[in-house]
Amino acid sequence: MSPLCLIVDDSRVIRRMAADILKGLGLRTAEAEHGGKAVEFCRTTVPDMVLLDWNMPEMDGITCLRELRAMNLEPRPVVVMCTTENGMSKIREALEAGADEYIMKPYDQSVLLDKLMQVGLVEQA
Amino acid sequence: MDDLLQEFLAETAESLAVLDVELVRFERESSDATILSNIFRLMHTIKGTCGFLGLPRLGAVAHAGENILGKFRDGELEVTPLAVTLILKAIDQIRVLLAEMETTGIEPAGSDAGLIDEINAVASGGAPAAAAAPAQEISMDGPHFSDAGFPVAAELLVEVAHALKHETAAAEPVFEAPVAEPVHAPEPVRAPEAARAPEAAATSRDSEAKEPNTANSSIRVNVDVIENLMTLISELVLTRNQLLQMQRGQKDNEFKVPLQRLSHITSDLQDGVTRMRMQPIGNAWNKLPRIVRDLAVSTGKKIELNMQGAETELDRQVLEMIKDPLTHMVRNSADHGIEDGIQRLAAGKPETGTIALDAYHESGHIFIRIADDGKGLDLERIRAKAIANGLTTEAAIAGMSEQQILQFIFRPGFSTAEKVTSVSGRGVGMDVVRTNIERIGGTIELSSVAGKGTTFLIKIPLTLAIVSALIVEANKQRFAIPQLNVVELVGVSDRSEARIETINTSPVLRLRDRLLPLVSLRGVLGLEQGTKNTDRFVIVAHVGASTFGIIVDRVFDTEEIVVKPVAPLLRGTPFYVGNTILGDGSVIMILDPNGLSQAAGQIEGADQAAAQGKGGRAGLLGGDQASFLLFRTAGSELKAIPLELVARIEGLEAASIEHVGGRHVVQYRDHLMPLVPFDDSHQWKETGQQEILVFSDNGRSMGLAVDEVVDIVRDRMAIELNSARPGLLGSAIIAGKAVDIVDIGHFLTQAFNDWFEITNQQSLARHALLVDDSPFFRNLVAPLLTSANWKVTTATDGVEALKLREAGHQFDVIISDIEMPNLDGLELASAIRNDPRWNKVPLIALSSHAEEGDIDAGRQAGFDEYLAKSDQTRLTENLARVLRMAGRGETNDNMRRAS
Amino acid sequence: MMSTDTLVPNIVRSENDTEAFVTFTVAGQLFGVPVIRVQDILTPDAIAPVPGGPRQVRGLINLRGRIVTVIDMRTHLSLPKAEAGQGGMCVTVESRGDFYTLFVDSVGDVITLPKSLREGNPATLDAVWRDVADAVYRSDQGLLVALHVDRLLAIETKV
Repeated sequence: MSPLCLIVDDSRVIRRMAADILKGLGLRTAEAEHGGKAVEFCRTTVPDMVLLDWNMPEMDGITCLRELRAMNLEPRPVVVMCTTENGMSKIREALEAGADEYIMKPYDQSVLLDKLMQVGLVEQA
Repeated sequence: MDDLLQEFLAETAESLAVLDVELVRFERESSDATILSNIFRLMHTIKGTCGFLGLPRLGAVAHAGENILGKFRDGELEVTPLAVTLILKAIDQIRVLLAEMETTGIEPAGSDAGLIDEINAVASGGAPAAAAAPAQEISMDGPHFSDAGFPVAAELLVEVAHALKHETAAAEPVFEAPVAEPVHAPEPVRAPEAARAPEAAATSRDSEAKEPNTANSSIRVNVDVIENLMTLISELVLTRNQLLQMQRGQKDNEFKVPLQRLSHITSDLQDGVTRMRMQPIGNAWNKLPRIVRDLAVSTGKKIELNMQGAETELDRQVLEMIKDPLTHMVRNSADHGIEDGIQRLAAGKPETGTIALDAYHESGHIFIRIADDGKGLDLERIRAKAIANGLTTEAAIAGMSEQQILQFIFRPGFSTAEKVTSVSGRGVGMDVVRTNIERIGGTIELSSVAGKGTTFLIKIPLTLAIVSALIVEANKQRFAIPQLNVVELVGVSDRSEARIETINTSPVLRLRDRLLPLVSLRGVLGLEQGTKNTDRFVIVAHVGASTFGIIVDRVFDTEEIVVKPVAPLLRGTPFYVGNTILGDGSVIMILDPNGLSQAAGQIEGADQAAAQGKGGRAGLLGGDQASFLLFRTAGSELKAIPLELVARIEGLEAASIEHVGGRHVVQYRDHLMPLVPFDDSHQWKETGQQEILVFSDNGRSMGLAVDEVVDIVRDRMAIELNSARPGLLGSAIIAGKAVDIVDIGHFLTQAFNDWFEITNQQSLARHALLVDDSPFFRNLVAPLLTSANWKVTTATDGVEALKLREAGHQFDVIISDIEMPNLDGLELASAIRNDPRWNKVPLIALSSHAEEGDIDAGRQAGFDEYLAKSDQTRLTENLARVLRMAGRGETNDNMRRAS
Repeated sequence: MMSTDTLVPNIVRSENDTEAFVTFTVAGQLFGVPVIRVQDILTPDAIAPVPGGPRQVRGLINLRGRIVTVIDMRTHLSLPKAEAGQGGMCVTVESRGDFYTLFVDSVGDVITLPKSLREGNPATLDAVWRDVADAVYRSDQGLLVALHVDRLLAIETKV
């Protein structure tokens, strides 16, 4: 079965765009509009990857990341943190909290594809 | 226009609406970090999505706004009205750009450099924009802004190109329906509007945008689809009714059960779709904080807007219609009502004026109160203007009450001469407001105190919905009565048990142990009198706490009708709550039982100044009315007793009253009825008729001797309890007269000093056995039985129950649980049925499992009736029903047939 | 000057110096309402009376699914009652979002009158009519009272 990517972002426009891109690359997708919903989702279904935005209501990205890692999900999902702030401190914080990669917004298909290959979810055909 | 862009427009419009509200809140509570971070995030998201969609111009404006917010957040910039105004400007500009995009499908060319520079200048505390730019670069998106826009993937470019190619369909407001989620609580419904021009309020069609699979529990649905659905469901309901109607006359056949199911499903569907149309009133309010804020700033006043009850839900159509009136009234308050700071302080008021919006549900209506603490309406000015505009004359107005003068503001032609300020808009006028509200069947009331403020109270129906109604006829004309109000139907003729009698011209109906006051529909509506001695029907109707009967000529069926509000010219007529078109195309009026009963009674109208609210919500609804029987006895003061306690009024031949052992009695029907005087001063009639009021209960009657029955009146129950005299509860003002209220209990015990005890003893004859291993349920059900006058014995399981049988006990009914240890309910039932001792006793199953299979098994085992424990209300009802049957000694065969 | 067109209320005469009216007669008096205000003209089928309602409300009719108030013009304008059994016609207008139909004795032609024939309300005009009349025209069918639709329907109800 193709990998499942959980898209976490408060903008449904962005969620949809990301979903379109990922589906186009052959992945399955699910969506959550904030960190809390993402955590809830992961209680019942463990995604292969989480595309996690930073700024969200209810529960923001970094908090969500910490919770997800604390849940010790098996198998361990790859977490790619979305960010628009490329201040190094923020990205470091994310990586230290357990993010595997980060990606700048706005991203496009090629950037996302690169990331997916980087984390091994997609292989060069 | 493509879906994605549509989605973007909708989402961004929503965010902007929230931003408006939150920004105004934040300006007032600038230390609240939560609000700020919320605002920041919203602006940030808008900027982000602009990046994804390749909308550089929009993105730039959003970015500027985010800039200032960032400064607020980092404490680098003070929250000043100027700064907030600039952010609001940015929001407005984004709206403008969005509006253009809706029509053209592309981001408008051009630049907002002027606005952006202004914003940045303030953001950097006046430092030149150029110097600020480098500092910002670090926090900008990874790929820099460039004139060519953001780098966009090939696929995305293609999508945008598609969007550019399409001619527009205007992006319209999309209706969002909450989807009930069994696991999670439903998400709050989001503001449904996409932006058009900022002030556009016209309803328009929507394009479809389907929500992807998310943990969000709302979906967006085209409004037309919903409307179609509603129409189809209405037709389904009517067809279902026809089928039920056809089925009613038939014996049991294979259609009965499926039809029942169909009926339930249809009702559920109807409910569901009706709920879909409900939206929180907050959606109509969300533009108001911004409007008030802007008004305050431009007029230099300080105004605070409080909104309560934003979550109160109402029908979407209704919401659409009150949006404008509400906005108008709030603008009026802010513009004309609230004084400026100096005037307020001089008047001893706080400098900041308050406008309070309050919405709540009550009795099937929505109430919305708009109150301000401004200077109130100027009676003199209204007076002068009314005369000047030819609406009345000096002489006429001199005789008017304050309330009547205030009402002039609702007249068409009043506001035409009003000064049209650019602030409060086109001088639309309160007459249009009232028209809009009345068009949906609502009302608006007003109260105002000079110097203190003005309050409007709007009352509107919850939905424009389908109701069940009974169709009746009087004088060959048909009317509808809402089923909700109908308790029962009684056929009345010379031959029937129930009879119509007259007490001092007031007709009453003798119905079982009660006297019911009656209203003749012909009479109240001013129709011709019918011919005497024809058969009639009485509709027993329920209004508030009181019950009365409506006399009609004929009764037809119950039908589902669509209630349409009455035309403006008919609003003054109190008898009608609406009108409708029946299936055959005929127009009929829908009666308002409340209006009928009030017209028939002698009630003074309540003063509409109860619009002031202040915990007086009940003041606007009818008070509890009851019928009272007025009579005289032992003196000339009027006495009264609630009519519903009186079984009959008799005039007994004095000669037939016997004096036995110090008491008066009379042979009444087939027993000896004790007669009790009010007190020793009562003069028993030697000859002629002695009037008595008969009270009955449980087969026993007693008569209270009175001198004269005076009248029956309806009035509010407001009794002052002061039982100084035995036999009296207290006093009250009824129909304008002071009367003593009789304490009938006193006389009942005089007649039978065990009146209140024997009631229990009598039914000692009825003995129930309750078998249940759960002490909780035994404790729950046993009291239900004793309150219905049963003696109760309990057993903890089947084995114990059978032991009682061995011991020779007999019961009138056995109620048993199914799941029990040792011997469960099914086995117990078998054991009982297979043994002559308890074979004929009615057997009722009471279980937590009430699936079809369980019910079948129960019946097979020998239970006559199967009740579910979980359904508390039905339990009491059903138990009562079954017990009644058991109490009447009906065999279990009969019960089986009946169920 | 006057054209005897067939009853087609939707035609609007666009010349600025004339006005087109749907004409009708009530108790011998000729009235007119601007053509653009008239929704339709019909022979009333079943008018459902409203007992207890204002006197000038003759009843309600079902007009294509819409409930429309029938205004008895004789009562409304304080004109003598009709003979028993006399029929009438209905002229449907819209005012401030609600629909009304005016029950009149008979409906005449749509006529176009030049504004030059327009006169203000003569002093002899009944007080009630003055409220509801826009102007009076001298037509070759006699004096035509041009009614102001909104004012006509804003009048206080007669009890």
